[in-house]
Amino acid sequence: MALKDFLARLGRPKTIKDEATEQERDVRFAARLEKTPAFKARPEFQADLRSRLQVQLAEQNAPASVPRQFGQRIFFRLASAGIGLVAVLIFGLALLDIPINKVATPTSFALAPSVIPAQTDESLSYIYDSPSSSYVNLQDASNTLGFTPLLPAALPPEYKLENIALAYGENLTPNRPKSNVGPLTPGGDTTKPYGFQFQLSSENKEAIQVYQLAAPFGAFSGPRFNVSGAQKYNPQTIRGLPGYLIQGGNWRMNFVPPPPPNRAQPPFTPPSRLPQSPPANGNQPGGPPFGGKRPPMMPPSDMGMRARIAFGQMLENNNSGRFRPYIDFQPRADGKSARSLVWQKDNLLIVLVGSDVFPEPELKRLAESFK
Amino acid sequence: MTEKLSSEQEADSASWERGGQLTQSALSQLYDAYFPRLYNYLSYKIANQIEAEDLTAQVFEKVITKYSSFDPKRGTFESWIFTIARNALTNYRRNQQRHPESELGEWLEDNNTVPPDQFFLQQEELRRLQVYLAQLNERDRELIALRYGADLSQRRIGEVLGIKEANVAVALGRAVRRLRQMFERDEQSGKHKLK
Repeated sequence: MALKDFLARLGRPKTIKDEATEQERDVRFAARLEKTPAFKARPEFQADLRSRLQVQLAEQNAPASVPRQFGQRIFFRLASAGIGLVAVLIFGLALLDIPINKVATPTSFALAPSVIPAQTDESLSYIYDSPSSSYVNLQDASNTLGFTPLLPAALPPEYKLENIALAYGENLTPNRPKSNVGPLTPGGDTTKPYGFQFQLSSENKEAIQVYQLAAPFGAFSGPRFNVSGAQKYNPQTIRGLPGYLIQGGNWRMNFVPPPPPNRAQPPFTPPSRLPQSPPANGNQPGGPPFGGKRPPMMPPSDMGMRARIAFGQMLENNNSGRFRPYIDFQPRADGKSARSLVWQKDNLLIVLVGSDVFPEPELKRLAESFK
Repeated sequence: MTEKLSSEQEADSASWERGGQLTQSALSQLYDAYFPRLYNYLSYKIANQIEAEDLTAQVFEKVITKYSSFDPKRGTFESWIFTIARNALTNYRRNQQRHPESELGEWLEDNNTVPPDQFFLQQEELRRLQVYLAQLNERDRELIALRYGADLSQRRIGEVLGIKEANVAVALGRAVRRLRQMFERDEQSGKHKLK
């Protein structure tokens, strides 16, 4: 009797019959587990990851596909012709205003000093100021940028500001009428898709990269933004302005639009990574660089911190017909995780990027020094 | 539960199971076949959608960079990819322990996607599953995740964990029982109705 009570207390089956019942229940529960629905990732994440992986694979396989032999050359030309045909089709569909794809990436920025490729018509971006400059004429820069850069007013004494550079963002849908580009182009000005960057460095601490550009949408306001793809993130307040501390190697900041407008936004053309003709002004790939100087190449050691920012918008999946703007951000060219502090002041989006172990309070202290 | 590979997919799967250079077509098929299973497996291990997505991305990136090292003679692709996922999880947890200050807060849900009513019960079931999985020991959780999250056979689980298939069966049976008892305790106490 005592043994029976003991076993009962342990919750174990008392008899062989009980054990059989337990096993039967185990089987039923296993069947229930089998029928349990799977956890599902967000469709936009799944689609985004697919395209990122395809690009990664293409880049990885690229050296093997350099056309050296006749057959390869023919293949390359056929592929180019195919891409051209697709571009014509996309353009045609764009004119008809048919949304054939839910994701569009109209404007992209690579904001870090980058080496100008030999074939400039395939470059995504370039820098036309000397990346080693520690002086900038704010008035000149503002005229070019279309916004006034935000500089630290009370930089901690151990830090110095250097490697100032301007970036030109390549518009990835060059054939689209400007009226349809709408508010997604930074500052709403298609002629000035520029970014500004510099570095905060000190002798004892690692350098922080700072990126600034005109934001395509309104101010941060709590839940109207959310972040995906990051390892972690949380809301912050920088000098009274809302922002985010984000950790990850490739993340997306979605903008949740306010209540439905009377009229749906015009749809975007599908994403295109085709090379485009440079802008008509002088600041174009291969064109005269800012200040009349061609930028020097950055040493390879600095290339790891090259960031890439892309604006886009996505059709909401609730049949509202509305588009949700987003920013894709890859803080480091090597895709490694980094810690970024993002906030917005007026129309200006500011991003501070350090390594993924850079102390959060220090990053915030630097951000607070901007006025 | 995740869908099994169809026979057509299984036939195609040879394109990525042979090793060598990974083509875009093979990547696309591989992605379709393994994304749901990998994500589901990782969600069984991490109750955070964003982190599960991030780890899923890391696994696929690893698959692309390390694919040339995959040798079909040494094991199946299925075992290989889930071993990568397990290693990614280990690194993730090690990193969390090393930098606890990097815990930046809880996951913020995308408030723009409201789950339809018909999925409410399923969502509740998944939520409970994650709660109870978190209470299991690591070994049990791993077995449940590999079997029901990754949809692996007991043989494949044995390959991934480096143990015999017979041992997998016994250990999995015990893990299922412990998980069942957690569900039943709650249901009997009236917190949830039996389905």
